[in-house]
Amino acid sequence: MSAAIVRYRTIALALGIMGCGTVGSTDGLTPERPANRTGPFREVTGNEMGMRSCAVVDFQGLVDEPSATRADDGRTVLYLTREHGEVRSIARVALRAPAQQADDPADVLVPALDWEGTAVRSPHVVRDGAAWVMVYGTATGALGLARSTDGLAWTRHPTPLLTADPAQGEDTPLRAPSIARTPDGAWMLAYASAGAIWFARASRAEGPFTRVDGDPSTPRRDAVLGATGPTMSPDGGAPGFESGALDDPDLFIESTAIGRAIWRVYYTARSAPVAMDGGVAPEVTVGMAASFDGRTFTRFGVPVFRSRTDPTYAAPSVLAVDERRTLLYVGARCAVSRGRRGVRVGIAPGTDTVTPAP
Amino acid sequence: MTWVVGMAVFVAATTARANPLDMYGLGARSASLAGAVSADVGDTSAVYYNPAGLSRLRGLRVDLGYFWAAPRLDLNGRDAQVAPSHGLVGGIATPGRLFGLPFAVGVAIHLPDDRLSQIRAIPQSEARWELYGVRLQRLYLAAMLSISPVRWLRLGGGVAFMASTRGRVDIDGVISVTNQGETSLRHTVDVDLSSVRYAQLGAQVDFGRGVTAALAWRQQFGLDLTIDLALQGRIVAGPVNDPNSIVVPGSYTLASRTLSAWQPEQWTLGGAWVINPRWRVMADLTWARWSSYENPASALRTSLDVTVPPELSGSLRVPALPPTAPREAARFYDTLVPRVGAEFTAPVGRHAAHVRMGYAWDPSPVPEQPGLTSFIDSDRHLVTLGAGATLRRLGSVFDGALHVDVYAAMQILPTRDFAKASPVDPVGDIRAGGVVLSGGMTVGAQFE
Repeated sequence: MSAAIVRYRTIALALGIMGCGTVGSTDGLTPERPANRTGPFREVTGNEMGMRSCAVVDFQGLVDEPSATRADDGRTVLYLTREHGEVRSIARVALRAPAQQADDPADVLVPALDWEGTAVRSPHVVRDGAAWVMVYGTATGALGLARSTDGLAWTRHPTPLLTADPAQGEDTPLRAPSIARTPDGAWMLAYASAGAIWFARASRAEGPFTRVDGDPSTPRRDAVLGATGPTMSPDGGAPGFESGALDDPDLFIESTAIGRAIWRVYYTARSAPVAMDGGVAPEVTVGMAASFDGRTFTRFGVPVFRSRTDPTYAAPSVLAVDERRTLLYVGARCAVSRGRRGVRVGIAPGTDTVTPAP
Repeated sequence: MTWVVGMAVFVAATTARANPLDMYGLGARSASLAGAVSADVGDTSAVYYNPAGLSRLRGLRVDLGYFWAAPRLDLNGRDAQVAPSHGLVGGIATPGRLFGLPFAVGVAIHLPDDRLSQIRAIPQSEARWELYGVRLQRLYLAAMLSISPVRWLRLGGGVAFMASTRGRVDIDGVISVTNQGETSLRHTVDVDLSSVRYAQLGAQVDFGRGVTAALAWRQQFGLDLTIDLALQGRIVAGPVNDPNSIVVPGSYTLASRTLSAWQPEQWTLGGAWVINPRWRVMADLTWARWSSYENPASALRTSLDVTVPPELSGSLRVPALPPTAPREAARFYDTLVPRVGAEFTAPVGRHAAHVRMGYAWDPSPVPEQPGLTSFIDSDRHLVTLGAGATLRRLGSVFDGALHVDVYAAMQILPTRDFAKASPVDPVGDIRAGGVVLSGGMTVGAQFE
C-alpha cells in the first residue's frame, strides 16, 4: 500500500507564475528547426512503406549497391548492381512514393569491354546539367565511366578512369566509386580499396584523374578515410564500429545554410573481427564523415545508421531533395521476397516525409 | 529506471528567460520614442524607465493600454514560429508631499493576456532565438516611489517582483519484484515558490533652459527553477519480511537547477531638451551587462548508489548513469544601446496633438555559436512612430487631461550567419534574420 503526502505552498502564486509549461523535443532535432540532416537516420516503418520492408527487390536475381538520383520528372531513380549467376550488370529502377519500385529493375549496362571482365557493378550516378554521368566498378578492379542523355541509354568511356596501383596504397582492386562536382568545378572521385576510402581529382569527369593524398605530412600516400583499427574501441571492450574496414563511399557535396561547401562521405563501416570466445562478431553499419575543405574529414563518431536486428546494412546512397535526406541502402529480410536482399530506406532526422516526392 | 532518465532528460532541457518590457517597452508614448525617455518620462511608465520621473506628476495618474508584438524571425529561411507577445499594460501613480517635499508612488504592470508565464524545454543544442519567445511571456509587476528634495532634482527607486520555484520529490519504500502487492512506496512532494525582488533606481536633474539629464539603474536578476529528486529504498526478491529473500538496497538522487528567467544589470544615461513648446528631443545610452548571462540549460547532478548482495555480485551489474551533457559557457557580450527620440506638439485650442518618432540600435549580445549551443540573435534596429492627443478640461466630471497615445514599431534584425566549427555538427550552419512588428495604445487620465 502506498501513501502520498503532498504539500504545496502558495498554490495561488504557483498558478500565477508558472502559467503553463511546454516540454519540447529531447532529441535536439525538433522538426522545423535547423538540422544538419547528417543522421542518425531512422529506418522507415512498415506503415510508411505501405506494409513493405524493402523499396526494391528483384525476383529474378539479387540487387545490391544502390545509387539514387532524381529524374527530370521528379521521380527518384535507382541504379544498382544486379546479380544473375556469374554476371553482374547495372540496372535501373524508378521509385514511386512511398518508396516503392514503379517497375522491375532493367539492365542499362552489362559487361562488354575487356577491362570490365564479367561484371559492371556499384554504380554511382550524378546529373551534370542535362546529362547523366555514371561511374562504376568492374570485375577487374578498374573503374569506368559512362554518359547518358536520358538515363536509359549509356555510352561508355572506352578506357578505365583508374586501376589499382599498390604503390599508391591501393593494395586491393578499386571498387564502389562515387563522383561529385567540387565547388571549384573539378570532379572528385571517391573509391574504396584495401579497406579504406581514397580520393582522386580531375578537371573533367573522363579524367585524367590525379590521386589525392589524404595526409601530405607523411611520405606515403594516405587514404582520406581509413578504418580506425581495434585500438580505437571507445569503451575498451568491443571494437569500434569502423575499426575493421570502410567501403562503398557515397560522396556528396552541398552548401550549408550560409553558403559554405560541405563534403559528406557516407560509407559502409565494418568493425574489426575479434576472437569468438567472448568477443563480439563483426558489425556492419553506415558511417559518415564530413569536411569543409575536402581534405580534412571529421567522423560523425557513431554510426549514422545501424540495426539491432540486421547487422548487414551496407552500401549507403543519400538522396538530397531540398531539405530532405533519404538514405537508401541494402539489407536482408525483405518480407515479400522471403528474406531476399533488397534496397531499403532510411530518413534523416528532421526529414518529415519518407521519400522524395514523386 | 526509465522514468528517472526521462525526468533527467526533461530537467536537463528546461530553459527560459526575462521580461517583455526590455524588448518592447512600456506605454505608448515611451515606446514611440524608442524608449529614450529616462530624462523625459512623466507618466506611469516611469516605473520601468526611471522612477525619478514620478515626481513630475502633479495629480493622480492612471494609464491603461494594450500592447502587441508579432515576431517574424527566420532560421535558415523558415519561420522560427516565435510566439507573439501581447497583453494589457497599465499603471497608477499618485503624488503627495512627504516632510514638505514632493513625493510620488507608482505601480506598473504588464499582464500577458494568454498566459502569465511560460517555461519551455529546449535542449541547449537546438537553434532558438535566445532573446525572444519564452523570454517575453512573463508577468511584470513593479512598485516605485520618488521624491524631489530640491526643485531641480528628482530621485526614485523601488522593486520589481518575480518568483522562483524550488521543488523536491522524495520517494522511499520497498519494491517487491516477486509480489507486486507487497510494494510500498511513500512519496513526498514539496514545492516552494518564493518571490524574487530586483531593484531599480533613478535620478533626474534639471539644468534649466529645458535641459534635463538622467541616470537610471536596473539590477540584474535571475529566476531559478530548482528540482531535487531523492529515491531511496530496497528491491526485494521474495517475501518482503522473509530474511532469506534477496534484498538490494539503493538510492538515486538528482539535483537540477535551471535558469528560468534572467535580466542583465543595466545603467542608462539620458538627456532631454525641451527646445520650445513644440519640439523636444531626447536620447539615452544604456549599458547592459550581458557578460554575466549564463547558459540557461540545466545544471544536473545525479548519483546512484546500489549495494549488490555478495551472492549476486557475479550476475548483477549496476548500470552506469548516463553522462550529463556539458553546459557550454554562454560568453555573451556587454552591450551599449543608444536611443534617440523626438516629439512634436501642436496646440489645438486647449488641446494638443503629438507626433513622435524614435530610433534605437541594440547590438546583439550573443556571440558566434561554433560549438554545442545554438543561441541565435542579431543586432536590432528599432524604428518607432507614434501619435497622441492631450484633451484638457473635457467637462465638469473630469477636470484633468486625457492622454490618448498610439504607436507602431519595427525591429529590423539583419541577416546574420552562424558558422559551426565541426562539419558533423548536428545542427549545422545557421542563417538568421527577421523583423518584429509591434504596436499599442495607451489611454491615460491625469487628474488635477
